[in-house]
Amino acid sequence: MSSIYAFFAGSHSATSALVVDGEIKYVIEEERLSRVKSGDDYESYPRLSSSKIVELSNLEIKDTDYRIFVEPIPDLYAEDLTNGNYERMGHHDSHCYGAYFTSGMEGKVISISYDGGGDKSVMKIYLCDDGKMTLFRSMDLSTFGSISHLWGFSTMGMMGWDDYGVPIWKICKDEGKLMGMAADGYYDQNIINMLKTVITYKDLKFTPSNTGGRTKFLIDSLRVMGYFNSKEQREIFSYNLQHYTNEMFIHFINDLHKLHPEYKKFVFSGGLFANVKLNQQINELDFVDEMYVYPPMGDEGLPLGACIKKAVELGEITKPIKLKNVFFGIGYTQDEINQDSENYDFKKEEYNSEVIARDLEDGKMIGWFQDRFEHGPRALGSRSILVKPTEIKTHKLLNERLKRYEIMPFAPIVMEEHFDKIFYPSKSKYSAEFMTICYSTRESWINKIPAVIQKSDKSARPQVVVKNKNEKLWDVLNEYSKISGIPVLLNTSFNSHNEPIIDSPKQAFETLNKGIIDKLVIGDYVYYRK
Amino acid sequence: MYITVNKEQIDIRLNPYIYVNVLGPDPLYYVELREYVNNDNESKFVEGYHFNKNDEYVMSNNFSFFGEFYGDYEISVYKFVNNVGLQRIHTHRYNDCGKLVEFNLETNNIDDANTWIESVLEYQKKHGCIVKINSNFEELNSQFEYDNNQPIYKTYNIGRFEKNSTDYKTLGETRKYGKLWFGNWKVFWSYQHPRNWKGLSSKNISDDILGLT
Repeated sequence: MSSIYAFFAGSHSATSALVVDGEIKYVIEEERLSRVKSGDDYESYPRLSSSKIVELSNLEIKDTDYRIFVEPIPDLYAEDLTNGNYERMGHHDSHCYGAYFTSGMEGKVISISYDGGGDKSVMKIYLCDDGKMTLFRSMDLSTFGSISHLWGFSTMGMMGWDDYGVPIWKICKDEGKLMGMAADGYYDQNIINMLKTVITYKDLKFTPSNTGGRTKFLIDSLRVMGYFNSKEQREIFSYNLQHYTNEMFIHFINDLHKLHPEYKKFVFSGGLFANVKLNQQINELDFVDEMYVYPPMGDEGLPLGACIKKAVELGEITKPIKLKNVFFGIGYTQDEINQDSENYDFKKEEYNSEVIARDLEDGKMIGWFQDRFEHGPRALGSRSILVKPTEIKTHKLLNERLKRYEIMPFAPIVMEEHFDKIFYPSKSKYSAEFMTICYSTRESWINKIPAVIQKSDKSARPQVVVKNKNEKLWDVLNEYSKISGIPVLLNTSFNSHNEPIIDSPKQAFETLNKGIIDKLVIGDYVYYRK
Repeated sequence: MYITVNKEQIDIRLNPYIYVNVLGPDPLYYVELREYVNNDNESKFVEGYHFNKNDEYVMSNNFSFFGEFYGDYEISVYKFVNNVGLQRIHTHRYNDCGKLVEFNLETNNIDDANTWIESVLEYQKKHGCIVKINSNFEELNSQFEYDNNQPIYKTYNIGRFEKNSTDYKTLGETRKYGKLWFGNWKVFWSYQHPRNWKGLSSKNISDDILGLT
């Protein structure tokens, strides 16, 4: 049995991971400690996260059995961190292995990774069966195009640059803003025609390559002629970007299915699958029995994927497992929490789920700080803010308090037992435990939970809460359901605008102190201002 | 060579390296350099360049790709047309068949020169170009007839050239090996040699430069 450290570093998403004897010990994204959101940092190395894991695990990097850097690698940094004693792991291999071996899927499965490029590829497709993965296709970056670059460079170019030459919206960070805006746009054949001159799909191939450079030219040209000056035009462009993305990729999945009709389960990884609207389209395909999106779908998920691939090679992981959660970050003891609370003059009570449920019904915003923090982009009940979902005005209140200006809808958490009566289709619910897919909302529930429903297409991005996986969160949902008849809450990430999700009790207490939240549930206690 | 397409004037040169300039009424043009490797049907992206006449921060208003050795390149120039998108206004695919190609043999060693002439003849057979030889050996130069008035399409310098200080574009892992990277896949040792010539045979050196390996 072995200890495996893995790292990803470079221009974004720096992360460190440690797996020991096939068990995931720690995965920490650098942004959680540096407090600089990935995408805002141009040089991103896992200095703090690697040191933190060493501290928490008492396992020096040099003393581990394997040290892995995921391609592309900043060699000098890798040499420095490991004294030159490291190995490389393929970028898309790490994505695909991480996704498949945490999918819990049995039988025939297709694992697909797709992003802006890593170790010279934009995409890899593996055919998987009974824990064995066989590479079916690799699409090299120099020959094939990337839908991820279409999004990245559209995001970067749409709003132009500030006086210091820094893009106002950034690649690898702000793509979600376009996805959010898309909801308010409408179909425009001219935009689709223009996007087709950048990248097209046919016969399992996205071509031509250099989607980034071609998109940049298109977006710069549109911006120079003033196209993006109006919010409405930005929304129309985004709508058609989403529409064209769905059209191309669904065409691709259909073609892949024709080649391999016996495969009806799909797992996805890579930045493209942060796009929950695309994921919804895939999940709604009749021939897809089940899909799973790797919870850390972006490059932050690479170190864990690399550790998993190494553990598979060593025979320490042999079959796909289901994750109980992705709480792989830093946790704090009650003593540490108490110590931090002493800096503030808060009221303190023992946690009672009935009281919190009543607070939620009264419209209070509850900071929810439990366990170790999540790995991946979503707040899944470790560092969350909970609010009742029944009033649309909640949007305005949350955006004002959190200083968020985005048009992204807020997401619901829902008790597993009630999922099917609220959302459909009834599949891929394991993936929905990690909030990675949008679902359609049943007609009778649209007006009951308006704060978490996308107003244009009535979809939502629910997180399924399973009792035996997160009992405390399930319990507060249950109590709220008893009071309100609604087994749903709004769950948004515990951070202000443009900040990474919080890490420590100190940051949580500071948020309470500033009046951003009304109460803080942290560990076994509830704190609030006097 | 200057090409005029509608209102755009495009200057494309292959000597000593690829150079493109676009003069036109629009503020923005885009040039893309691709390469067909091993006669593949699909080309690989090498470099792209955005012309922006209005942008004071743009370093240069022309595109250059400094590799001097052979490549089956395709150069495309695009303009933006509203509601259409990227419109290709000109494409030039490397094709020296029937054209005058100049070979400079940079050596004083007759054995080297004879070996390199072998490669030149192979190149001529493969491409069908007209050969002009410049070397220190007149008996070799005079073996090849050509029309002095015909413009030279491309010049190849064959020799053992040290890396030049302008051979930049070294990135990441390859820095210590002194390689150059383009388009995330095209790796070469210097602007004049695909591979480090030190350790290569004389024939390998000329074959490398002429794309015969």
